[in-house]
Amino acid sequence: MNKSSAPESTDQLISTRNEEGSHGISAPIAISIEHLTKTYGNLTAVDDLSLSIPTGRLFGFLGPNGAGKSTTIGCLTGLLDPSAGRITLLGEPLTLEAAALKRRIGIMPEGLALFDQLYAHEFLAFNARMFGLDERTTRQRVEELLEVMGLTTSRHKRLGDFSTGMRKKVAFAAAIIHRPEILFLDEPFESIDPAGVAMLKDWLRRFVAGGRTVFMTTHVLETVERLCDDVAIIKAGRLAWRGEVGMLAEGGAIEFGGQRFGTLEALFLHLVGEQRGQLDWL
Amino acid sequence: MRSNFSHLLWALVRLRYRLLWAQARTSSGRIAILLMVYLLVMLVFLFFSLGGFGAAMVGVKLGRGEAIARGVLTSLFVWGIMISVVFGVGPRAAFSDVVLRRYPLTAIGRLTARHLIGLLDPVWFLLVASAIGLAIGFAVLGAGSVFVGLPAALLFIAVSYLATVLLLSLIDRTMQSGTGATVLSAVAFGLLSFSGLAISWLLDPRHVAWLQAVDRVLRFTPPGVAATLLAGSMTAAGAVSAVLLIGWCAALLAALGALERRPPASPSATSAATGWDSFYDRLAGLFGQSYAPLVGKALRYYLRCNRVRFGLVTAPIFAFLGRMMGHGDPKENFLMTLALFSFVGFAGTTAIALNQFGYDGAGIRRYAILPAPFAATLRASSFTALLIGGLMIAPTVVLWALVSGVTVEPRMIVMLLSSGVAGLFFFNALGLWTTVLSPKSVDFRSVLGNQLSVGGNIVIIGGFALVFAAAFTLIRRASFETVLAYWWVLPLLAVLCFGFYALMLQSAGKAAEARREPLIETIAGAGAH
Repeated sequence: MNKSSAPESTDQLISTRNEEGSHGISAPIAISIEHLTKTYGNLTAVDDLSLSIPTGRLFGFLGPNGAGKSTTIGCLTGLLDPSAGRITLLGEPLTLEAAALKRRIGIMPEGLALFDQLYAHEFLAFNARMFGLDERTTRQRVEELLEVMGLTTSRHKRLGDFSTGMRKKVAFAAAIIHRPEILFLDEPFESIDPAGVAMLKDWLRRFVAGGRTVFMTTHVLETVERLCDDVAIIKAGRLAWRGEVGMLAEGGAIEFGGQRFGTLEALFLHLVGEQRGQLDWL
Repeated sequence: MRSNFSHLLWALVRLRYRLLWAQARTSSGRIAILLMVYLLVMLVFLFFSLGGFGAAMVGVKLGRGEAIARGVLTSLFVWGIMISVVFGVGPRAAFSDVVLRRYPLTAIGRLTARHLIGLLDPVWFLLVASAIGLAIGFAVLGAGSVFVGLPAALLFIAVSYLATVLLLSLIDRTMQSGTGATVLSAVAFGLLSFSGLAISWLLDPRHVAWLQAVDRVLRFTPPGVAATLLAGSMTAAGAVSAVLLIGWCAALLAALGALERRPPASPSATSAATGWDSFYDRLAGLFGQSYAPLVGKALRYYLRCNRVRFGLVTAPIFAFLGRMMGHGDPKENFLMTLALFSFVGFAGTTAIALNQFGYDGAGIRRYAILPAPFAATLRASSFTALLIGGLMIAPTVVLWALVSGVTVEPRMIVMLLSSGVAGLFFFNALGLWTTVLSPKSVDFRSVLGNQLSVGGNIVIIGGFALVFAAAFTLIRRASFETVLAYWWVLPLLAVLCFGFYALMLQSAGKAAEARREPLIETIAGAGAH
């Protein structure tokens, strides 16, 4: 059974993790977020968020729509500039000039960020070259990725003509082509066929088994339960809960605030509040 | 059921206007508001002078009512087509047959909805006001009947709309095919090059017989038959004209129906540039290891964009325009060509060079996550525009030397080349800033309408005004010999423009880094966070 509680402050959370060695696992910290805040005018999308994630973990980052998940990933990947706070990846501070650091991370961003007028192999080759792969490796990995992703038959289609699931596969392939040390995935499984999802999950498990780190957002809580080691739930930009979920797959439960939750969904709904509404006309 | 249909139709028309208003509220839409105000003023002007009573009064007083009505209606007809091509008026993608299928509409219902929405586009009000004004004018002055004129005016509007939509549809489909840009460019090239010459040839008193022949043909065109109905009553000739106008309407409707039943060719299905050592990558390799992938991507976007292809194929037209604008005078010919040549290297690439991220859509986010400065993408795309545009200059100079009709000397060649190079650097330098300060998300596949941002329009309009002001000043104040004696000014200007470009490359790059988030939000859409 995992006992966890909402941190009184994110500072406390960080200090606790550092003292405990991140849930008892003494691994170097892959991702460190300290007092991250991101505002848009009067809207605070991420509010004083602090987290540290050790290497070799598959980390699920959850929250309701508009909670600040994608904003957090945006800040972690250099897409957005934090309004305040500090981000450290693999021990190096993330700055606009951190090109060498960016080569060590792979990103599947919100909206996928594909170039719709390129062919899949052109897009993957573009990414591979930008991340410093030589021509021979680029060619080899692109062919291999297209083959295993089942995209070879769509070689003559531009990405703009791909289905949503195929586009996700291409974005995933682009994120991993340079074999990054940290992988940021924003809702990676939605719209992909079940066989494709199973393959991606298997890759992710092997990815973290090799000592690398995955930071992932998704709304599919069952997937998180079975796949992730650690989970954080945010609500309105603030950390609402952080803990391990591995025991749920073995029939265990999460204890929080004096209650036991047998599923992540139950805990999630408890934390973010259930949405209820009656449509009498339906 | 009919009530439901009319409700749905009304809701779609309102949606069309809401979308127009939403676009007008954006920064790039403000120029549209300015243009609409201009059009409104023109509408009032047309209604009270040329289009309405004024034209009718002039026509009746001169005893040439039908001829004047024919002239006005022909102008309106051509104007309607031209403004639709420029502004992309007509049935929109947002109200295409495919999109309308989500609503409970039959095939006929969708067809009606699409064209009613297109016909109720604000720009058509100008034509409606002018044509109805003309009809009422003739009726009030006793030269026509309101019962014949008004239906004829409305039918004329319908025919104008159908002809425009048919032409736009043809252009759209032609551009989607592999050779479409070339075919259309050849047609546009021919029209632009020779229509002006043909008109001036026809207006020459020596060719009056030809002019009369053309006038006879024009009587059977939609404006011609509508003019007969507007300026006369229901005589035998009027009845024939009415049948002809209805015939035009039916023929255009049938042609449009036949065209729409044919599925459009998929552009990507016909493209198969899948080789690894492609032309794009070899060319991009010239820019070094760090820029090569970005230039390779930019090259693909530039050369796959129909607007750019069209621009590149039509750029050599500048070699001919100077001669047309020079009125046969070698000095005017050369100076106008000199002014025009400053656009040769830039004209083809304007669609992207003035708004480099505009066609990337959500892809713009990728630039921010790549292990390269955001400004590097701006520079790479600008280098690509320089490369493509630069390749256009020398061949166009050679073409000019062959067709100019003036005695070509080496100083002229140097001046023209320098003008091209100066313009290439100068306008691309401005393009860096319009990209950063006036970005606009645009549809890569759209081939119609003015898709430039406010900043892009200012650069184009201001650029033309600037170089032609310089050319006209030289034409008035300097002799040909003086202009040629100062030939070295232009190479110097090219060097200065290069320096200006280098400076802008640095400063606009910094601005792009600073404005990265708003740029991404504008191009990729709100919700980038």
